[in-house]
Amino acid sequence: MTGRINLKKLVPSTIFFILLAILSLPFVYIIMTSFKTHLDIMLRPILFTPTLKNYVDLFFTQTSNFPRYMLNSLIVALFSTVFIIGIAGLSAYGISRSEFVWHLDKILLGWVLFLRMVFPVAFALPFYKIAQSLNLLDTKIILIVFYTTINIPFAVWMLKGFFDQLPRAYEEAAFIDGCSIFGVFWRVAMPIISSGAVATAILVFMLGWNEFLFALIITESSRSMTLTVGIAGLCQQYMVEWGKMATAATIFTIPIFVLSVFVQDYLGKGLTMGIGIKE
Amino acid sequence: MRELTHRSITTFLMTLPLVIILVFFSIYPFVSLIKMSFSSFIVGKGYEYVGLKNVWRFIEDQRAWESIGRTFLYVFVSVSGEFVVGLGLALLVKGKFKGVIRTMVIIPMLVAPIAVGIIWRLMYDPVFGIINQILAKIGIQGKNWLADPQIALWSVIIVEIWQWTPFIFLILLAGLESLPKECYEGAKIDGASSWQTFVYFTIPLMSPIIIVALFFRTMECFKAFDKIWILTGGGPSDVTEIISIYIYRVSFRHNLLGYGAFLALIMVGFIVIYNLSYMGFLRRKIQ
Amino acid sequence: MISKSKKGLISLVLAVTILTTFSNFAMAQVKELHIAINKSPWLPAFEKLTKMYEGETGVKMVLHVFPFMGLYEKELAAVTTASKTYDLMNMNEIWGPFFYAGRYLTPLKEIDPEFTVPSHLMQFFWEGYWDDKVHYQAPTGVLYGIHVNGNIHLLQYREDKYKEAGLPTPPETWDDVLEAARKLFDPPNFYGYVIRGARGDPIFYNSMTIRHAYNGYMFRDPLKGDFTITVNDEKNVEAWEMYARNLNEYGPPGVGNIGQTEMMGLLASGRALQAIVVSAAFPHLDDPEFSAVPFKIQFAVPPKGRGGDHSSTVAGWTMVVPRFISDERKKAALDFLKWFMTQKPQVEYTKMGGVPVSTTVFQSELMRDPKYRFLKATQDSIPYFSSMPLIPECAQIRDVMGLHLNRALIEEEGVRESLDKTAQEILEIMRGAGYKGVTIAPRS
Repeated sequence: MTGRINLKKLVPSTIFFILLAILSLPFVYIIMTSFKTHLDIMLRPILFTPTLKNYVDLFFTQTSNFPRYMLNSLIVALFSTVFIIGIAGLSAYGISRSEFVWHLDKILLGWVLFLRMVFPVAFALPFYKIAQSLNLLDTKIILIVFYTTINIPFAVWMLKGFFDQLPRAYEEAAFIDGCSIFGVFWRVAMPIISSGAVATAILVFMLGWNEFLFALIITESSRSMTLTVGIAGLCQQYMVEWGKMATAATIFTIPIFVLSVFVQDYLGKGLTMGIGIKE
Repeated sequence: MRELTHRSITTFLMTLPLVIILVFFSIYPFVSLIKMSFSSFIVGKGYEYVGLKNVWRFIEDQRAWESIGRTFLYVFVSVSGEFVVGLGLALLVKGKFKGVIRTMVIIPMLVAPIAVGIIWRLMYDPVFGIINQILAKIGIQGKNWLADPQIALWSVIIVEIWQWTPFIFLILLAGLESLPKECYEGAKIDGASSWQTFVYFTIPLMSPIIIVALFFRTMECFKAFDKIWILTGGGPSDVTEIISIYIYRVSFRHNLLGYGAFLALIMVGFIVIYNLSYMGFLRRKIQ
Repeated sequence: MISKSKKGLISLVLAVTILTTFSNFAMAQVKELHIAINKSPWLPAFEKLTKMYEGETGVKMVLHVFPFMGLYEKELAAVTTASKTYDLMNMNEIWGPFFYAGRYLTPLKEIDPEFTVPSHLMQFFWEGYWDDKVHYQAPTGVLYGIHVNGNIHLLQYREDKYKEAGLPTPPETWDDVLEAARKLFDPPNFYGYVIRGARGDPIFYNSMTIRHAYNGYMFRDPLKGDFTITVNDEKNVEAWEMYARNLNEYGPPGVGNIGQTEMMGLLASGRALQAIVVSAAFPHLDDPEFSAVPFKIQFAVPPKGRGGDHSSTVAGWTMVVPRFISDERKKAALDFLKWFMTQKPQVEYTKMGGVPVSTTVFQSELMRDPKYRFLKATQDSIPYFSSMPLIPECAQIRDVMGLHLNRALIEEEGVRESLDKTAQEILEIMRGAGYKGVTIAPRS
């Protein structure tokens, strides 16, 4: 009845909120810093007079390219995520569910893993040459292609892991009912692991959103330059503009935050446990 | 009776797009990498083949070995920390706190890596940093978090754990919530306690996911560069010089681009060794 | 008699020839100039200048702006792949020698044999030149670029605090500086001297000023090709002792990781007395949103060392022309550089926060404006310009020396030990790079 505090539920929640607070403190500091002048950042950590100057400088002055950078980042990350999930989903399902001749699946998995293990620095110049020979330097297209290439390994392994974890009962049922393999994949398997797919999508999006080295090498102008390169410009040779950096960090976390919330709420949960087997 | 598991053309075709991408965009870089690893970059002339010279250089390069050892330590502590915290958070969050609150947990991972480095450097600053200023208010003498050779590496590790715990958290959470409820119910009916259910059921069931999470986080951790470069540049002295920093210095300060490529190649080997060894260890534990 | 058709053919050929010659002339008018440049405090000033140029000549100026962390990698990728994207590249002297020796750039005299550097240009210790015979940046070499940012190291100190304490200004010697640091040291509110001690380039550059002031150099006579290593001789040791042990006593905590931002922050927040800072920082120190002590910081020629003289180390940017673009574009690039050096653009440049390279600015009204007081210090420093060793291996040397200097600073190595170890490693580097007959000078 009312009045009885459910201790079992309260303690974990409290611990959780404490942890969450600790994890969030640095970000709270970032937000605070974005409203300070450089002087205040140095001298007045907690009490200060807020100012909007950093935001104005970053976004509303004529020469600022940050809105453009944001759009570029969004496009590149979004498209590469869509491609990655699509291609990786297909491949992961195929690898998980069937035997391959000559252990090609193991080779594929291994190859993909090696791709991920190499330090990006070593691939920077070769990728530059590829882009140059295709005449696609300073375009979003080539960034999308590169991000797809380097982030697919992670998605393949992740999705394969989720598929492996899934008992085949549901798929076999659908299969017997006459569904094609592709149909099983699209209508049964993917929806069941949707929370896993969503997690993968978020992570892959984030990898594309925060990628720096290849964006630096490939982009030349605001036509394709992404946020990460733009933010790096705030670290000038003689001085780091702490305030603007905090502002950039705050603002640029927002799109991906919103996207994550949206994707989890609308795509993540719905279909998982609701599938009844019509037996 | 149609069987799902069989060599079907369809499943083979499903992997085709992946293969195409890999062939087109990873073969050339790989071949380049191998060529560069066994060459030296001569100013004005480009890469010249030098056979095993880089191998000998590596064997005698004490700084490289120290850096690799340091990197192992860094990765082990960071990923372990992230796993413990991430798992704890995933268990606490499972099934509750939809939407915004859940997403708040992953905020550290969403912040641009360069900003993470800059802001943490600012927070750690002995004079301007908020950490020392708050400590001063409660009467504790703040330390030189990034300038003291004894604690600099740990300060950096803390930033790494803060930034990347969400990664493991997200994956483990998805894994936990993907498990069909039937398994739990089965165990509960058999009379198992929640702890037992957890250890003997949940973890083995989730092992593919756990392994993927640890695997990839470890690989990424080995490559950590941006924030450490900003936080300390590898210093003071070389206490935070993990291998990616060393490779950067070798390639872009010492201009030994061939040797840098070689180091990157060798590191693939080391990462494989590291991953395989702890995976073997984990598999035995899970069994 | 030439047949009609042949006449027709000849006139056709003639017409085509004349037309193409004219149109070549017209095509020789380059429409756009692409410059690779880094984001910096003086970038807005430079941008304004390019708008001025556009207004005067109609040539569209396209700036490709990259973060400082990354401009080198970008330009390296461009030159090693023979890219035609840029007409001018802003190059830091850090990677200068590497590009010169690699033949990735076009000598300016090749573009215009009549071109000479105007006498009113400050000579930043031969940055921009490259002599292949001595393998060093020397006046006997070929000119590849023009300085666009006359950045030098100056002593920046709180004149008000000096006067309060009754100390003469400006301090003439490093002993004077030490004296002031000792007198006014009041931790944690006020620090006597800030060393930019972070490992690598920071401590290397920051210590170079004092080492040169004590007459301690890295090589004996590199301009003549004598690369005998003197980095660990007594003068260097004395200078480094003064810096790492004496002055460091009166510095802030965490010196092993102090970078440019932190150093300037300490000065600007009014917590430090003095430091060696680059002149390009001048706009920030008077900006009320950045500085708690606007107009209180004075600029001076860096002080003399015992047995030495003043010394101001240069640390600027040179604009160079890559090799792989067409001749017309090269000429357009040089035209811009020529315009850049004249007085009017230079004065405008300074007004907007840029650091000028032409002495004509010293004759302008800016000299009397307290906002530009760094100009006087710059003018005074001209006889004392010095620089780091300008060979392709310098990046490697700097990295190695920067590590040992940092270690000495945090007392992981001794003062003498750090310089000895540096000398040993430089020896290995030079020998490995193929320099003949390099030795370490015996201790006198």
